[in-house]
Amino acid sequence: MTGARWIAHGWLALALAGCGMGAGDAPGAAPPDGGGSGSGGPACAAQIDVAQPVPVAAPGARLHASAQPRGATQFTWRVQFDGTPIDFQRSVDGAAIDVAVERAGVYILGLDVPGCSPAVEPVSVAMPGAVTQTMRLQIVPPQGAAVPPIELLRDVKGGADFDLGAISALTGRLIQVVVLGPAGGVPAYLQFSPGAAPDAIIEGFADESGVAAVQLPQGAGTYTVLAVPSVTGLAPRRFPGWSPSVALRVDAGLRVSGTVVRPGVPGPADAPLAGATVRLVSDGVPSTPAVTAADGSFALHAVPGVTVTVEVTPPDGSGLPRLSATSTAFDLTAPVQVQYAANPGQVDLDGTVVKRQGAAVAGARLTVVGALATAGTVTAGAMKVASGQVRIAATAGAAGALPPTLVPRGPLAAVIEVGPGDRAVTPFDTSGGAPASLDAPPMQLITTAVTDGSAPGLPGAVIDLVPTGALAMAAAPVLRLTAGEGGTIAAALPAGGHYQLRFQDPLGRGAPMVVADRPITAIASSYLLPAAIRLQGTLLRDGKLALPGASVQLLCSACTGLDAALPLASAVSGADGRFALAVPDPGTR
Amino acid sequence: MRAVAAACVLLTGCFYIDPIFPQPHYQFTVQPDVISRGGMVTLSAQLKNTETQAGSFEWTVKGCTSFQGNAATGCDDPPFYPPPGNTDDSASTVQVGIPPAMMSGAKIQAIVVTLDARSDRGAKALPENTNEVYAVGNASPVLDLHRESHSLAVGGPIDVIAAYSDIDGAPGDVTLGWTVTAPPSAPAASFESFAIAQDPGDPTHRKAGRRLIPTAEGTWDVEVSARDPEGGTTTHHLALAVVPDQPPCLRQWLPTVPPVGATLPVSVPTVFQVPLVDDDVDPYPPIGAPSQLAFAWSILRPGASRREVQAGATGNAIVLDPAAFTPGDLVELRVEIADRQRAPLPCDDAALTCSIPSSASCLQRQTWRVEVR
Repeated sequence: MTGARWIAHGWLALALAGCGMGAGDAPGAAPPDGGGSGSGGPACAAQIDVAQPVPVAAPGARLHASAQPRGATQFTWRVQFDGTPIDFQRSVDGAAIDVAVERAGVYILGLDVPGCSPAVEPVSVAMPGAVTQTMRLQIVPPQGAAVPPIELLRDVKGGADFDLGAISALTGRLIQVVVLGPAGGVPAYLQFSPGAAPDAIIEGFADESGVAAVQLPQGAGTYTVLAVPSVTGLAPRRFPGWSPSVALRVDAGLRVSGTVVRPGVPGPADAPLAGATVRLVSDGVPSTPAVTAADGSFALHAVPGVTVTVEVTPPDGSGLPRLSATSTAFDLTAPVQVQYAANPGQVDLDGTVVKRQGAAVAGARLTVVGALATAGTVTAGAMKVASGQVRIAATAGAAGALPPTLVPRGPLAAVIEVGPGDRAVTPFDTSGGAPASLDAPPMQLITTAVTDGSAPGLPGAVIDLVPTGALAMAAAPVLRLTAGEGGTIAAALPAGGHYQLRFQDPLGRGAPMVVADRPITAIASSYLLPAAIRLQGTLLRDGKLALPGASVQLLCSACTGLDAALPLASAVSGADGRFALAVPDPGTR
Repeated sequence: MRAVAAACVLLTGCFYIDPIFPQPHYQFTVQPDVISRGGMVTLSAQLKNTETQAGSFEWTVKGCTSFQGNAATGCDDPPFYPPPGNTDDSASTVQVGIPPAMMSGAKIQAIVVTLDARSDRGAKALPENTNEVYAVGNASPVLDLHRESHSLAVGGPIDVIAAYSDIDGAPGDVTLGWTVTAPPSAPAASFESFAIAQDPGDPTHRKAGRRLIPTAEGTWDVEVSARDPEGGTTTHHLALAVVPDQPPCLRQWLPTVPPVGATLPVSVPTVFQVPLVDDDVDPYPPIGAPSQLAFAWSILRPGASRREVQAGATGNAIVLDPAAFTPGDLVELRVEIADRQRAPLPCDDAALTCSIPSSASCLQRQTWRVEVR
């Protein structure tokens, strides 16, 4: 309490609070330190009011801020710019300040008022002509914080550092969600997508009794929920517009049946394809998988949908491609007939020797990959031509010779893994039959450098190499390369490989950058990271307390699929809830 | 008749004599004994031979460029004390800041103090018009030491920052001496300087930094001495209580890990990532300095007896494409982390999680059991 007064009256001295309690008021028993509330905290919270609109940076421009509470007797101000204290002018009573804002960026105003908790107010002063760009942030609070993740789209001005202000992460509400099947509770995987922020996914698992405890955001919003039962015979289902009080009811869905046939081997007659795995994706919801019986028949459970994809994964050793057809005209109540095309025929790689520089490679792992525009047809009420993807793996023996391995005839590619991390990509045209040998070129040394335009480059910057093309089809991993002294990087990469290059500098000296799919031979000798601005903000739990230990990721706002999910830059909130990310500068006009 | 009158006056007590005081004088003292540029001096005066010892005091202090034989020359005409416009200060004790330089910019070498003191009756105190001369010496550099480091762990870099200035000289003329004292029997440690950006808006201060990489636990002492060209030296110490390096802890992983007995269904290419790792030396994302945290990803394919290490996948994220598998396949995807100590994990390969300090809250291994859908 501020302004406590002591009044001596004979031997009695009473402490009276100065805040509205006069001598004639009941004195009570407030202790001299004013801590009558028992909380021990400050009696008030200082507050900084920034005059709007905040000026644009210019010679003579001034930022005006005033303090609350106004009746205080002492105001201690601090102003920092770019981490350095700067000077300012204060009003006669000290309750307001004017800060010269000739430079654009983030000005951190601090205020101490005796008896009150201090205030900090970051203020962004924009460059003249700043271009605004929408940026997408994903914030995942620390595990155990009982705060659901947040997905944000915020406009960021270019040309200078920018502060997003306080971002409130609201404590979630623990909801018990029940998944019910025809016979009671069902274990299931659950994915909740809030209607207001569809990408702020919340996951959960219902146990054997069908109950899941999930932290959902506060409020009366609805969700789109994906429920994938863990028991056979029940179809995954999506629940749009779901409210937390409603049980999630799953059932067998639509029983979809059909057959898979392939050209006769040998001969033109169709033959049932046994051991193939069939699944449907109905408006993004996968069905249960089904394996074809000896007669090629299958039955699976799916939910009806508008856009339906039928996918068939052939059994190992069949030499057939994966088959996929998507249509809005499929009628899932009709039998689904999958017909592999007669062409292009098959080639057996039995005995083909995998070599490197003329020497056989024992134990080499070969993955033949390729795409076929026409791999067959799918008929379900309507007929649709199916495309094909070849992903056929085989491992060479001790002499480097491949075992019997059927692959489609045609222009394909081979990804050869000679050893852990040692790969090669080579064209593999089987149109003329199986070759006697298959050469795996040695890994190719590439050198590049990461710089922000200043010598000596950016040591510690990283490039994530995301495989594309044949390497991606062969499930090659994402590689991370870290720049050493001078920002240089030297690495051996698979000859013939293609990668997407994703640059980021964990120390924020340059902005993240994505270089689209390119062969390793086209990797440039150096890459200049775009100019970065520091995007800052303060995470507050329920708008009050700092939220430390949360991850803050910058994601592509205009991307889809994997590109939308791979973070461009990452940071963690500190003890004060503050975070800072280096993001591409939207620039100025 | 006169004698009668005089005797009458004496006897009746009607005679009054006003006491006559001698002319007051003062004594004044200057503290401290050694005066330096940029420092403060306290001037105190005491009146003697006055009725109340109260009075008024008019102080003036001038700066001079030379001090020889207890005499000062080359003094500025206007005094620097009292400051312009402040003529009301008549206290017996005043505090005076010594400017580092004369009006000409030359260094102040002496001050001349003049006191005009009067009793409360207006009598001028002695000695009059006496100028007391005091030598003004060099101001030692101002030095501030602090550390910037994520932690104080063995092997982790500790940046020691020295911010320094010289009130009566250019900071560029100050030389720094660095000494590090290691705990007994500690191996030699790296203690290299590194570049620090100077604040162009504050040319009066400079910063310098050294990066210490401690090699043993215990108290390390960093001593920094700032010395100006006149020999003024300021020495500060910074004690660093270095503790053993602790294992890193997985703090966040995405997507969620299924409970025991359950699997995570994956039907589209999915990013598996570890956004946050806590570590005293190698946190992720890095804080201030590059991190040497290593991520290792491995996969246990359906039917395989051995985990397949994803060689080269040393980043915090990996992509699992279900198209590389057959729907219905069960796959285990595993991530393990190691800081620069590269301590081996003590757990069996079958353990889904693993923790070096046997604390469930600090994991170095996490495993997703994935069902391809």
